[in-house]
Formats: sequence, structure tokens, C-alpha cells
Amino acid sequence: MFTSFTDARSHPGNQGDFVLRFLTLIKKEITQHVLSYRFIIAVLLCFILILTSVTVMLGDYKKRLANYSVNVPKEDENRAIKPPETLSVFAKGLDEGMCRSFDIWWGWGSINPTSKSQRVNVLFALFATPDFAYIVKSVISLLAILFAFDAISGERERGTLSLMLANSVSRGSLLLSKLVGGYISLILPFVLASLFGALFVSLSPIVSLRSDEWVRLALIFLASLGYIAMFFSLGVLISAMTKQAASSAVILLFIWTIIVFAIPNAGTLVAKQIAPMPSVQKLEEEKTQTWIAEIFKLSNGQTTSLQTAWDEIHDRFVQLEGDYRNKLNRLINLSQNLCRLSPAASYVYIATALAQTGISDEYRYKQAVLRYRTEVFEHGGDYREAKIVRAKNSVDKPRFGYRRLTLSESIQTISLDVAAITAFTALFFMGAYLAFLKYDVR
Amino acid sequence: MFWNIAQKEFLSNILSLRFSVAFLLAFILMTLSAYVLTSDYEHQVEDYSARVMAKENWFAQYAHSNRMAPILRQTPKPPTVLSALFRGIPQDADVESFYQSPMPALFPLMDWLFIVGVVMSLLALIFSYDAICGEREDGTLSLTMSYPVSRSVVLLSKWTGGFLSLLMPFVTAWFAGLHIVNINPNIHLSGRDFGVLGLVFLVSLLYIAAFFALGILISTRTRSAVAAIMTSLFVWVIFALGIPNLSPYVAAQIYPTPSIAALEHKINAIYDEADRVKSNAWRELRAKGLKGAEFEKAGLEVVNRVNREVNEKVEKLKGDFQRKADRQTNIALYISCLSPFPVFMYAGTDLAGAGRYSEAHFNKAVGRYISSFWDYFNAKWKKLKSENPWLAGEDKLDLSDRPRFQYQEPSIRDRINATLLYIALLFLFNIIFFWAGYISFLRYDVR
Repeated sequence: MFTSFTDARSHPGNQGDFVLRFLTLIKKEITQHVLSYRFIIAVLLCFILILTSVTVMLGDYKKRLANYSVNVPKEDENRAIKPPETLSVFAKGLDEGMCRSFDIWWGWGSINPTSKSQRVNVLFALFATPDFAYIVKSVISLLAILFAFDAISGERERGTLSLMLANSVSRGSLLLSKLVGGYISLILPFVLASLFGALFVSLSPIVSLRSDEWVRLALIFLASLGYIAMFFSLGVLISAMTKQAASSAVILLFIWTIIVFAIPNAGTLVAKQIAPMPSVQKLEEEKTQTWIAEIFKLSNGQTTSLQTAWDEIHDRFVQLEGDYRNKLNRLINLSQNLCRLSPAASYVYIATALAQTGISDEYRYKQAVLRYRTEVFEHGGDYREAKIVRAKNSVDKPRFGYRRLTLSESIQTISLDVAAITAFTALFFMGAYLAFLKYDVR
Repeated sequence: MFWNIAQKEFLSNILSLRFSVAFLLAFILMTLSAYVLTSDYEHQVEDYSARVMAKENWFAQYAHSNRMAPILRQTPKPPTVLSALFRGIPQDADVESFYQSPMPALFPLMDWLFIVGVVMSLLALIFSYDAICGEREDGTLSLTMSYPVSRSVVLLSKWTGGFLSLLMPFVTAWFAGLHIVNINPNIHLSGRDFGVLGLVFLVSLLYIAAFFALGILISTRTRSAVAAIMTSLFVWVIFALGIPNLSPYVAAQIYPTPSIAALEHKINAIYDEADRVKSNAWRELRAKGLKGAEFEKAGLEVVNRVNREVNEKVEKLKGDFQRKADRQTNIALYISCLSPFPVFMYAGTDLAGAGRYSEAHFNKAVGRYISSFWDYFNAKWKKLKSENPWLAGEDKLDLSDRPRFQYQEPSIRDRINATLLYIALLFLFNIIFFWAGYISFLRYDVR
């Protein structure tokens, strides 16, 4: 190793020399970052936020677990329920809604949800859930920008950029060293804090991660690193397009606001205008009005038997809910795709899908509940026969089953998002390279 | 001198890149969201009138004595333009349905409060972070101080000029957005709406001013502009993204409430027990040989007694639980008031009629309506029963003269009273940040 380096020194321009100079550049970049004020800020933010988040989200998980154990169905109850997902500690996603238990009434098959565990605290509704995915999505992406905004323009302002390029260093390797060095120093505190967080969770007695969940967790970290890399290369790109560090900072914050907040939050709202749908209150009111009206008709002799009335209610419910569900699915699809314009939304989809708390998981879970409803309803059978009494206690009573998406299925649902983030990263990287080639370093 | 410095600050900001960026960002977000939110409001109105119509039709066709309570419980809240612009607590937050849309849980919907709360606070810091340290770096600060001008005048004039330049994009965007709302032919803003909008606007200014003063404070605590922007963003992240979101969860850790599922189980157990007691009592009555009217009378007594006991028990359990839940919410509220952002959100949502106070107000109104309905209904029932002694619970009734639910939004005075504390807190933030900035600037080494 050593000899090859000395050789390299005596023959300027050969491969080893290049590597050495490249490593020097990276080292300079890392040292500069690690000794800077922003590194302290990054360490503080990563540790404070990630560790607090993991602690409180673990508490939240514990609470949902307690709810689950209270709600586990007894022998005579037709109840669909699943335990909270362990990885919801890191990306809660839609787990709150999925963790409610759904009681199915065999009469006409209505699905009655029990309350959400946090319904009591209305403040929860005002602000987003502060889980790991949220912190990466909004805070760490901001840090990435802070680490990158003056990569080129800042060095130009200090005059060190022209100095560096006065050496026999190619622009490509200089840019690459800036990307690699800056990125490493950025993810250093992040990776450390995340590892601490993961360790903290895995040491908790209430959590036992299965092996596939470890893989999922690792993939969530990997996706986070990819997402951070994307913002970092965006930062370098903008830095290579501006002359002053202050301008790049302002432009980057503008883009960051649009990507992280504006598009995802407006996307859902815009989708609602394109694919309008009735409110869920309207659906629930229609259902209440339906069943009371049918019972009224029955007691006034307009319907022949209780069974007919129940069947009537059931059919009407299925129709109302089917209509609603179709519209909702259309809306969800549309807003999902609109939000995908922003890589921040893609990242959220990836993290929640890997944590098994994503949109596809929610859809799948609800399909399972609906299937179970049909089974319970059919098993309940004809009211006029005494079967019902048997059905309520019988051993062949339908059981609720929900098979989670396997890892490869989960990955399939997010392939588009992974591709999107990769493409954005590549695009920004290429852009940064091209912009830097043309950059006036004076 | 004061006006010279203020003017210089104002002009140099306006000519800078950050001004164009702020202008663009505020303008695009406010106008686009105004357009989308008004369209959303129209959908809400459509939905609301359909629900009211459905209820009318139902009463016309099926009104009868039994099972009236579930229908009454579902009283729709009339949408308002302001609650569309300032969404606050989601409308379906207290609806329990299998069919709720999951999307808002992933991405909260955008509204004006969010734009002001998140975007404008960030812009305020971007406008103020280099007010002092940036001038020091440029060397102009010592130049300014070489004139016969006191430090307090310099700071105040910098604040004035900078804040005015920040207000330009905000005020323009706000009024452009308002114009878009106003030209919609389906929307009529009343005098009260304009009053509320004015109040929310003032509270927004107060909030933005707090962040602007914070930026100046940070600027007087740092030597270089780069350090100032780093610190500003750090503080902003903690204030806008950290404290508000974490506070409910931290409160849940500090003061845990029993699980709501456990409560529901306890209540169900009470009901089951009551059913058992009732059927036992009936069996005993039958064993005693009671029959006909006698049996009915004694049975009814048992039922009434048991129901009363059950209701008391359940009410007590629910009341205990609610008290604990309220306590937890209050703790979360206190923690979150460490940051101006949640304080602004609470003030804004409650002023606009979409917050916690407004929700409580609406629920009270529904409660009053339901009891007035029962008063009406009991009188009506008595009258009908005297006309027709055979009238039964399942017989169709004519209730077309029943009271309709008329919702009176809380008056402006009530809203101000409900938010006075938050507004005072925002003032306090302003004073603290500015005062601290002033103290720190007095000692600042301008070289």
C-alpha cells in the first residue's frame, strides 16, 4: 500500500495519486464540517429529536398494545382486531386507525369501530405525528440543506475554490469529494442517533422484533439515507448554480418548503376537489336513517318478516358503503399520485409501507375486515331458524384473519417511490456536475 | 436618523433575493390555497345541505317515538367560509367510522393557519437573521455606530424597516387570497366574517413579529451570519416542528389516562350486569305469581330503578375519564405554549371558529337543541296520546312543527375572550424576544 503511494507521488497523474488526492479532499471536507458550528447543531437536533421521538412513540405503542389486550375478542364476540405494528414506533402511518377493533353484528352486518386510543386528546388532531419518519422527512432534510448550501458558493466567496482548482484536481473529483465528504459528515450524527434509537426500542421489554422486522427497519434506515442523499445533492446543485451562499440558502429553503410541506399537504386537498366525495358523516347518517326506517316499516307491517328487514338493511348498507368505498379509493389513489410529485411524500410512502402501516396495508386490512363481515353475516344465517343461537356459540364460527404483506409484497407497492427518489437523486447529482463544470470559480 | 436606518433596512431587504423568494412563496401558497379551500368549502356546503335534506325527508316519512335518539345525536355542523380557510381540528375527528379517509393522517391538509404558522415564521427568520451580525461582517455596523445615534434607536429602526419589508409579501398575499375568496359568487362574507378575518390577520402579524424579533435576538447573539442562520433554523425546527408535535405525546407520558378500551369494557360489563339483574327480577316477579297490569307495573319499577343506577355508574365512569383526559389535554397545552407556533394555532383556530373552544361551543349547542327537542316531543306525545290512547312507539307521527337545529356561531366577543390568553402570550413572546435582543445588542461588539 505504502509503496504504491510513494510510487504514485513520483509519477504524477497516475491512478494512486488521484485516489490519494481524492481522499485528501474528502478528509478536508469532513474535517471542515465536523469542526463547524452546523455539526454541533446537527448532533443536537438528531439526538434530541430522534431520541425523544422514539421514547414517546414507544409509550404510545405501549398504550395501543394495552388497548389491544383489553379488546381481544372473547369466545362469543365477532370482532376484527390486530395488534399494533411494532415498527409503528418508527413510522406510525395509519396504524392508529387500523388498531381500532371492529365489532361485526351478525344481524345485518354492521361494522362498529371502538374508539381510537387517543381520541381523548383533541390536540393530536392539530399537529402531525412526531415519529422517526416525520423527523427524517422534515428535520433531517433541512439539515441536509444546511450542510450543502455553501458547498460551492461558500468556497467561492471565501476564495478557496479557485485555490483548490489551481492544483491539479479535476472539477469532477472536487465535486465528488464535496458530495461524499459532506454527506458522510451529515449522516454521521444521524446514523448514530438512529442506532441509539433502534437500540433503545429493541431493549424495551414490550418490543420483540422478528427477523423480517429487523430487515424492514434496516430498509427504513436505508431509505432515509437515500432521501437525505437526495436533499444533499439538491443542495449542492443549487450551490453550484448560485454565486453567493446566502442566495443558495434562501432558494433551497424555498424549494424545501414546497417539497416537504406544500405539495404533500396541498395534494390531498386538491385531489378532494378533482374527485369529490361525500363526508363520512353523511354516510353514517344515511346508515342510521336506513336501519331505523326499515325497523319502522317492519313494525308497521310494510315488511313481511324480521329477516327480510335485516336483509334489506344489509343490502342497503353494502350498497351505500360500496359506493362510498369506491369514491374513497379513487380519491386515495389520486391524492397518492398527486403527492408523489414531492419526494417527501414518496419517502413517507416508503417508510410507512416498510413499517406495515402504509396505505396498501390499511387497504388490505380493511378488505380483510369486510371479508370477515361477509363471513359473519352468512354464518349468522336465517333468523327464522334457530341456527342463530348455535352460530353465536358454535366452534365453526368464522375467525378473523389478516395476513400482512410479505416483505417482497411491501417492496412491490413502493417500487415507484423508490424509483422516484433514486431518479431525483441522480438528476440532482448530474445537474450539480454539469452546473459545476460551467461554474465561474472566481 | 431613525427613519434613515429604517429606510435603508427596508430598501436593502426589498432589493434582495429573499424578498422575491418570500413574495413568490407567500403569494403562490396563499392564493392557490384560497382557491382550493373555497372550492372545498362549496363541497362542504353541498354535503351539508344534502344531509339536512335527508334528515327532513326522514322525519317526514318515518318519524316515530322509538329510536329517536340516534337520529338526534347526528346533528350536522354548518360549514363556514372561515372554518374552511382555517381548518383547525378536522371535522371528522370525533366521528368513529370504519370508512374514514386515511390520507389526512399521513399529510395534514393545508390551510391558511398552516401557511402563516410554518412558512411565514420561517420567512421572518430569513429576513432577520443577519440584521446585526450581517452588518458587522460587512463592516457597516461600526460605521453606523460612529454616528451620534443610540443603540436602541438602531435596533428599533432595524426592526421597523425589516418588519415592514417582511409584511409586504405577507399583506399582499393575504389580500390577494381574500380577493379570490371574495369574488366567488357562492360565498358571501358577512360583516362578522370580515371582523374575524381582521382579528386573525392581527394575530398573524403578532405571531410573525415574534419570530422576527427572535431572529434579531439570534442575530445579536452571533458573530457571523452563517452561525445566525444555523441557530435560527435550529430554533425554528424546535419551535415549529418539535414542541407542538411532541407535546401531546409527552403529556401522555407524564399523565397517562386509562385506556379508552378498558373504559368501554367496564361500561359494557355494567350494562351486562344490569340485564342480568333485570331478568332475574322479572323471574322473581313471575315466581311471585304477578300477572297482567300488576306485573307490568312492578317490572317497570325494576327497570327504571336499574336503569337509573346504571346511568349513574356510567356517567360517573365517563365523567372521571373525561376529567383525566381534559387534564392530560391541558398539560399538553401548557407544554406546547413554550413555543409561539401552537399558541398562534390555538388563537387562530378559535378565532376562526374551528378550534377547541368552538368545538365545545358546538357540542353545547347540540346538547341544548336535543333537550329542547325532547321538551317539544314530550309535550307533543302527551297531546297526541290524549287524543289517541292507543298511540304506540312505532306509530308514525307528524313532527313537522318540531324545532330545527339553528347553530349560532360564538360571537366575536366570546371568541376574543376564549383566545385572550393566547394573544397575551404572543405579546409576551414579542416582548421577551425583543427585550432580550435589546439587552444583547447593548453589549454587542460591533467591530
